[in-house]
Amino acid sequence: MDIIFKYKNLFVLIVIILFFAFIFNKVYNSYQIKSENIKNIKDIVDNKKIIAEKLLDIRNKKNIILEKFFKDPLEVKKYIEDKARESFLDIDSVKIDRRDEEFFLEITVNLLAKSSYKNFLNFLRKIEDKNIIIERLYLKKSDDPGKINEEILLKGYIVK
Amino acid sequence: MPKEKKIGIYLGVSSIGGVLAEDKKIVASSRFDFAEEDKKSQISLDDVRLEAAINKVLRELFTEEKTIYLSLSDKDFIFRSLDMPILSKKEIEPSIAYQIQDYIPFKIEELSWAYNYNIFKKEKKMNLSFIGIKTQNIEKIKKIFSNLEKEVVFFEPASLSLLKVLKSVKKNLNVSNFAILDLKENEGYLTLFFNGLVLFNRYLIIPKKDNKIDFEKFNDSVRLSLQYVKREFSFYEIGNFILFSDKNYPEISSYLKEELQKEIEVITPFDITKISSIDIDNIKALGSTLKDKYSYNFKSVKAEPLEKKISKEPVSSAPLNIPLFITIILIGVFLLIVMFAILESKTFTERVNIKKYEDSVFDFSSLSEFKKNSLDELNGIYNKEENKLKVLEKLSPKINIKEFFVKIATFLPEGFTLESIELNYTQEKYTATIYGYCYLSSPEEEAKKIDEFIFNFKKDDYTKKVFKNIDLVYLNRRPIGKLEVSYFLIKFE
Repeated sequence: MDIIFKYKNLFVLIVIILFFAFIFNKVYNSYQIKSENIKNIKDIVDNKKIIAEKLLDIRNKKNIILEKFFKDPLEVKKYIEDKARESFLDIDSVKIDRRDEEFFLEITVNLLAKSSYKNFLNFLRKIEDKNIIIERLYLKKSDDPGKINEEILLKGYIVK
Repeated sequence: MPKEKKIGIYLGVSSIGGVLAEDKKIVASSRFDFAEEDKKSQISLDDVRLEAAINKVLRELFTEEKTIYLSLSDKDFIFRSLDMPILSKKEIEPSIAYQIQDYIPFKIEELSWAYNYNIFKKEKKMNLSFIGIKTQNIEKIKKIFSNLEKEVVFFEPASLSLLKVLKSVKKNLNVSNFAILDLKENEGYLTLFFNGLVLFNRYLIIPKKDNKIDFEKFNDSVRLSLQYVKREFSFYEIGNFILFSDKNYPEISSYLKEELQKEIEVITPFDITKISSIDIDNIKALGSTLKDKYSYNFKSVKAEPLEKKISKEPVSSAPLNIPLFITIILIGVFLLIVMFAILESKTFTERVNIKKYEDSVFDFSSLSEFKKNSLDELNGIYNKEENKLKVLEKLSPKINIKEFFVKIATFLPEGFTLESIELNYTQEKYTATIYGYCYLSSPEEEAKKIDEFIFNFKKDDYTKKVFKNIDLVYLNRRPIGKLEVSYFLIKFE
């Protein structure tokens, strides 16, 4: 205790210096944390930019694909019938079926028709403009000369 | 209020002096000289006659005071001056105990001792003056006084007692570097003081020739002592030289004046007390009583256990330097504010820059719609959109199957008739079969054409891309009407 009393000025000085050192350290640490947060924010902005650009790219691709998709379930049957007629296919029957999925609606069209092979190829070329998958196709020689019987199962999709 | 009376006793080698002092005045005095035969028999301190002599001295003081202030012959003490490096108070005493053992013929534990010192900061050293007395001796003396129902409360070397008296009457005495030659007919003491502390002390026997002082021999012994001091303490130079004696000895003072080239101040007990009956022994006894009023900044030796003897000096320290602290605190606060302002402005600038950067990325661009979305939200949207795209890609025909039917028409040779074509789409892959027949000039020609038909598919790039295997799975000749034709079935996988 005598030592502390004798060197009280020195002790008080040390206490003051330590106190300020503590406060300076606190202020500097606080700055470092803020600075680190700002750096993180910049990283987030950079990452957001990258993801947003990729997202735009995906959306563009999706839009291109979607252009060939049907907008309405009834449109599928109508489109196929129209294209069949435009290709001079003698339509015997058209049956449609539908199935609901998470992102889309699947419309199945079963077309029975008769035409020349050339008109059949025309028909295939015309339906290329839309997103139509030929699920099953059966061509059979017809008794009618120069013609073939066609049984075509087509699938069209509507994105929800 | 009556003044306190004190009994001062000086125990010399050949005499005892006693005073009853009031303040610094002698109220009563007494003395006792040992007879010549006693001196020859070398009286010891525990001798019964010593007790009787002390008793006689005390009785002649006519006082009932019980406490005794004791001045002892310097001969009973050990004086040592030590030069040491500057040490802390805690370090000094262990260091003394260690160093002093080289100078004394017995263990330090057997001594009662005290010390004082001067610090010479410039030379980075301290000069320490050590005084010790055998505890056994002081205990014996105390016991003698105890037998006489007196209590020794204080004791010191006679040289210090003498110094206190001199200082009390000579206010202008330079007590820094000076010497006292304390001289009686039978004994003498030479004490040198350095910066107020005892540097050197020597007991001088007074040589006699024809029952008179042999001044020549005595001066020789003084000269030898001074030479010793000069040799051992080369830094030391005597300021004042005081010859303190019962009477003037011109043989000695003139010799000293010549030897030292200084004026020698001669002081007698009468000069101090103006009482003719007072001699040096009484003056020394008086000096011991002056402890309180004229303490000579030198810790007196007390007959106490070693650990008690070392008195704790009050801790001196400078008062709290409040203005300095306030200044430091203000500077600290100022620096803190400056630092805080700089760092905050830096943070603010960084924030503004980030905001600008974010705006430049998301504003005025196709990405603006995502500005308000968090990174996690964007990731969620991205994953959802990616899944949707995958589904859409899955739902999109990757193969232009129309081309396959064009190829059939292109590769179909003359003489071929197709009965049926079947196509199936499963797991994003097409399989197909072509069934028909061929009629040509010979069966070999038909087989060759069928092979050629298949070969055309196999070498065609488009067909190769759509179908990995193209095989003829059936070939048979069968009649149609009257004609034999080759039926075939080609499988595309």
